[in-house]
Amino acid sequence: MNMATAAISYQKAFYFWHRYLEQYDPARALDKWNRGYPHDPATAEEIEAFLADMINRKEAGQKESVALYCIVTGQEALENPEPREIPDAPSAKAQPLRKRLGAKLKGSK
Amino acid sequence: MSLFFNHGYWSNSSKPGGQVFFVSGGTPAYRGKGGSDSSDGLTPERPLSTISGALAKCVSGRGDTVVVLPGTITLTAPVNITIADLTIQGYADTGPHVRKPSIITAAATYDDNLIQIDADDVTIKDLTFEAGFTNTTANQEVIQINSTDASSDIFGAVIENCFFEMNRAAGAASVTDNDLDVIRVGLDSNDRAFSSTVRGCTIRGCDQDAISISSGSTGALIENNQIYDGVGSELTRIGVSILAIGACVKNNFIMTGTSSDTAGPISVGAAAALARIHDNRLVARGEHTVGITVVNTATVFSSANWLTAVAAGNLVDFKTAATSPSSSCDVGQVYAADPATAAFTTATVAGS
Repeated sequence: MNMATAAISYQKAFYFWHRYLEQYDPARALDKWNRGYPHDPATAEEIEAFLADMINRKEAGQKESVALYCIVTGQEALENPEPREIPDAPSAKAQPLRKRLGAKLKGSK
Repeated sequence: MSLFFNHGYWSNSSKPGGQVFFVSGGTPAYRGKGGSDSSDGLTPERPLSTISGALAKCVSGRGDTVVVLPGTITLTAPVNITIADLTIQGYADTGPHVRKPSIITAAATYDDNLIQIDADDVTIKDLTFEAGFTNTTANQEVIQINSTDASSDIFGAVIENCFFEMNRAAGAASVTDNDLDVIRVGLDSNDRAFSSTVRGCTIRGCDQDAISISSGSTGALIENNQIYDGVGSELTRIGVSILAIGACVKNNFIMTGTSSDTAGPISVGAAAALARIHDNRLVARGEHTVGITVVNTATVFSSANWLTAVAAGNLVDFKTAATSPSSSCDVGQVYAADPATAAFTTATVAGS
């Protein structure tokens, strides 16, 4: 992780990443940001370091949204990278429970 | 229409104790005269010339109504509303998604918010906004609900049946360097807007976030809106951005085209929880764009959302490192997603 970008705010990171994707003039983007957010000023060096970090992470196979989240929260990678189940998405693990419940309900009729 | 004429006075039947003031949009009423702030503004025939002139006559908490007559009002500074229980509306009550003939706009070089709501229970309805400006300041808003950096909160704003044309300015052709969100609910976590409603609006050609709910502005209701881009070169970044607790987003049509998995029709951001997202029709046109993106610890209840993913895309993509998320997802239906990408079945957590 590039520590230089660890403290960047989500709003700022989001703004400059999308300006980059739009191939927006960097100097103009910086000027616009600093006019609109005087309490969270940005410097050219800070944004260059952030963009370089994002691009490196993307080239390393990290999804954009994950890279953005990791940079904003100061993580190298997501702390819990294993996919997790969600309650209403039945999985092989959840299936037997549903079957058991189904059988119970059926039997109680 | 809620306006009626009785015993020589105009009233708003929804707010019977309030006074109604009329503002000229530039076209005189039949047997009427042009607008002037020296008029009393009590009938369409004797209208005021500016919204600020009408606001100066309104009384906070009385339920007053300012009616914009047909035509275009060109602002040179934000309309700042500090009068509680006020309604500003166009004269034509033609329902949701219809472009209205009462238009508020500014010059193409305008660089500020258009409307700032800084009082409780303010309603903006039945107006068209033409707001394709060449901003030089990032993230200005067409309507900013709570604009003062004063650690104060407001309640109950309603934006209803308005038409936002983000590719025109003062009636002219589009400009492309547009850097506006359309509606921002709350300024920040210290200046919040509680229980705000955006209903029946059309947002056309926005290139930033169409509706942005700031951190702390809880209980927003976003329903029955149409948000779409592809107008000229404009690609909407996010349709509805949710950074607060308890938002409900339902029955909207949202089409966005920015190619990034940080963009998309609906984004549930850093501080969001208990978001209810259901019965929306979502179109993610950009490559790798996701229908509903959840980027941090969140509790999201999502059901019956329909997605067309023109390029690769998922209906819901959770990217949270939360240890115990309690999100539920009824995925609805997905069309034309990239077959190489598992589409709606990857409603998983932690960077699927």
